[in-house]
Amino acid sequence: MFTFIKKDILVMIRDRQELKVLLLMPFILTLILGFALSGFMGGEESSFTIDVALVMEDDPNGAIEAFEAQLDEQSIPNEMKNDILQVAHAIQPVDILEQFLNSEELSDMLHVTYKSQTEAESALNKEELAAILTVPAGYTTDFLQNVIFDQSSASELIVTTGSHSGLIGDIFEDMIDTFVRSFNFETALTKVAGDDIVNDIVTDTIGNVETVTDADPISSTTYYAIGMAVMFALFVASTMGSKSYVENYQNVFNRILLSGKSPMLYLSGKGVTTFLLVILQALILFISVSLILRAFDITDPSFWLGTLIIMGLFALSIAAVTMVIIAFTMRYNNESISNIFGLGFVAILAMVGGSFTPTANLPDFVTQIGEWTPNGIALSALLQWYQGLSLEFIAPMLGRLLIISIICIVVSYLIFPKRGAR
Amino acid sequence: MLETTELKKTFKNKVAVDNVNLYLEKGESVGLLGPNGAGKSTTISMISSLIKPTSGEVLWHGKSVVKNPNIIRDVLGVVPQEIAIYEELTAYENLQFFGRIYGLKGKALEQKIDETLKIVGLEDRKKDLVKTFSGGMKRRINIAVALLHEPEFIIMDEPTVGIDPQSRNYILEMVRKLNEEKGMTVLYTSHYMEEVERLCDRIYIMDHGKIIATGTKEELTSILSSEEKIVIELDRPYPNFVEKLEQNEKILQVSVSEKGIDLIVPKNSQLLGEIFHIAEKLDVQIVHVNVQVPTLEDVFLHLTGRNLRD
Ligand SMILES: Nc1ncnc2c1ncn2[C@@H]1O[C@H](COP(=O)(O)OP(=O)(O)O)[C@@H](O)[C@H]1O
Ligand SMILES: [Mg+2]
Repeated sequence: MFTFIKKDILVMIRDRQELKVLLLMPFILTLILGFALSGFMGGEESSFTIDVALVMEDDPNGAIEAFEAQLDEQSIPNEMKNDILQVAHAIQPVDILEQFLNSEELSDMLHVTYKSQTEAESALNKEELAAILTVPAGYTTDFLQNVIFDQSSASELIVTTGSHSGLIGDIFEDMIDTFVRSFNFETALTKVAGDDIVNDIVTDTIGNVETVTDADPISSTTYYAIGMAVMFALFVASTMGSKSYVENYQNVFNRILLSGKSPMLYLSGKGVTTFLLVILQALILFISVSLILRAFDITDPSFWLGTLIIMGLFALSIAAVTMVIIAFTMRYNNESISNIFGLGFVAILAMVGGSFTPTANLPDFVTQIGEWTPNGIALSALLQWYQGLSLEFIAPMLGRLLIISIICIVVSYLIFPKRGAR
Repeated sequence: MLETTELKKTFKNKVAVDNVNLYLEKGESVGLLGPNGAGKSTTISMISSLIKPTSGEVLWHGKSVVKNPNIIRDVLGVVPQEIAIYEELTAYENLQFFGRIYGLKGKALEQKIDETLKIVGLEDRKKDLVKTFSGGMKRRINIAVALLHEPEFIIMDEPTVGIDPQSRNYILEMVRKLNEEKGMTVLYTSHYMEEVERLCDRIYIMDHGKIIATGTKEELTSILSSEEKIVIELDRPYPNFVEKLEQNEKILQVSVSEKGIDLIVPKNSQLLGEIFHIAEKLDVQIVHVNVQVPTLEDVFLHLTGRNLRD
C-alpha cells in the first residue's frame, strides 16, 4: 500500500497549484477574516470602521413581562418557575447583543447608533452607514418561546446592507453571524447551568449544540480557523475524488488490475493519502494561525489532546467519504458521476453540516442530517472542546464520526469494482 | 499457447466481439488488423482478463483465463491503447511505481528500470516529468511499463497511434527485436496494415466484431491473386469519370482516393486502353498511372467494400 500512497503524494506534490490551495488557502482565508474582524489592519488607530445603525423594533422588557405572566398560568411548581425566570433574564438576547456591539473588542471598529427604521434607511441610502441591524418586533418573545418552551421558530436578526457596503457590509454580516452562533452556545450553556428541570424542558432547541457546561469565549479567529479546517477537509475529499477520475480507471487502474494486485489496495491507498492530507492541512492551519493570530494556545497539551483526537477521527471520516466517492467514480467510470459525487456531494455536506452558513437558517430536518455529517460533527466537537468542555461531552460525537467512517469504508469496499470496468 | 474459442462480448444490445476464434503459438508475432470500432480492444481486454466475455473461452495452455485470471497475469504484458501512465511523475517514478506493483524491489527493480528504459531509448530522459514528453516518447514509456516484469507474452493495442514517423519506426523496430531476439510472443493490434505486414507472421483481419480473414500476409493477399490494382492520379476530382468507370462491367471495384481513383480489375484484363479512352472523351487529366499487386488494404477493401482507415 505504501507504493500507492507514495505515488498519490508525489502526484499531489507535482500539482503545486492544487496543493497550495489545499494546504495554504485555509490559513490565508482565516488570516484575512481574522484581521478584518479584529480591526488589525490600519495599525494603532484603526482606520477600519464600520458605521451601523441599530433599529430596535422589539420591546425586550415588555417581552419578559409577558413571558412572566405566561409562566404564571402554567401548572408548574413555583420553584421551577423561578428557575425558568432566572434563565429567561440571563439569556435575554437583546441585552447580550447590545453588550456585544459595545464590547471593548469591537468599539474601536464598530460605531453603533440607534435609529428608527426610516432614519436608518435614508442614512444608508446617503451612504453614511455600512449596514443596518434590525431587531424585529417580537424577537425576544420568539426567542424565549423557542428556547424555553420549544415552541415557535426563532425570528432572526436582519442585516441590511447597501450597494456601497461591499466588503465592510459582508464583514458586519459575518460578525453578526458569528455572534448568533456563539450566542447559541452561551444559551445552551445557561440552560444546563440553570437546573436539571430547566434542562429537561429546554433540550435540543438550538441547532446542533448538544450539551454544554462552562464555556470559555471563543475568538472570531478561532471560530474561522475551525470552520476553515473543516471546510477545506471537504475540498481534499473532492480533489482526491476528481483526481482519481483523471487518473482514469480505463488506463492506469487497468494496469493495477493486470498486475494481479488487489484493487482494494488502490482504494485503501487513496484513503490513507486523504487522511494524511487532512491532518497536514489542519496542522498547518492551526499552527500558523496560532503563531500569527494566537488563535489557539499551542503550548497547552490539552489543546493538542482534543485537537488530535477530534481531527484524527474527522480525517478518518473524510478519508472514508473520499473512498466512497472514488468507489462510485470507478464503478461508473463516468465524468459527470464523478463530478456529482466529487463536487455536489461535498457541497451538500458542507451546507448541511453548517460549513457555509449557520444551520439555524436551514429547515429542522436539515439540521438533523447535519448532526450526522462529519464536518458538522467535527465543527461542534472542536468548538466545544475549545470552550473547555471535557472529552466526555464530546465522546458521543467522536463515536458518530467513527460510525460514519466504518459505514463509509464498508460501503466503498462493497461498491468498488473488483474486476474490470465493464 | 493462447487460444480463444467462440469469444463473444455484447454491450447492452451491441455485439462488440462476435464469436472470435484465434490462437497464438509461442514465439509467434500475430497481427490483429481492423478499422476503429472493429472490436480489437474489447477482444484484448477479454484475453487479458480485464473484462468478462459474454460467452466463449480464453485458454492459456489449455486452462481457462476467464475462471482463473491469475494464471495469465504474471506472464502477460499489456500495452493499452490509451497512454496509461502518470503525467505528473517522471519516467523513472512511473516505472518504479508499476514495477513495485508487480512485486519488484530494490536493486532488481532499479536494474530492470534501466534495462527497459534502454529498450525504449529513454534512458537520458528518466528524470524528466512525463508531461514534458512528446507523444512518441509517452507511447514508449507506455510500452516500457508493460515490459518491466519480463512477460513472455505481450499484447500491444495500437501502440503507434498519433505519433511522428520516427517514433513509429523506433517502436516497430523495438517490437521486432522483442519478438525475434528475446523470443517474446506478440499480439499486435493496429489499423495500419503496413505495420502488421512488416511485423507479423500471421494476421487476423477483424471487422464488426468478426474475424473475416486469417493467414500469412501472402495467403491473405492471394485472396486477390486473380486481380490487380490500378492506381490513377488525377489533377483534380472528376465525378463524371468515376461514374463512367463504375458503369464499366469489367472493372470490379472503383474507389476514390486522395489523389485520384483506385481500381480493382481482373488480372491481365488489359483495361488501360479503355480507361484512357474514357478519360480522353471526358477531358480528364491523368497525372500518373500505376499497376500494383494488391496489399492487405485491398484485401480489406475487397472483403468489406470499405477502407481500413476512416
Ligand atoms: N464499454 C462499452 N460499452 C458499450 N460499447 C462499447 C464499450 N466498449 C466498446 N464498445 C463498442 O464496441 C465496439 C468495439 O470497440 P473496440 O473494441 O474499442 O474497437 P477497436 O479497438 O477495434 O477500435 C465499438 O462499436 C464500441 O463502440
Ligand atoms: Mg481499440
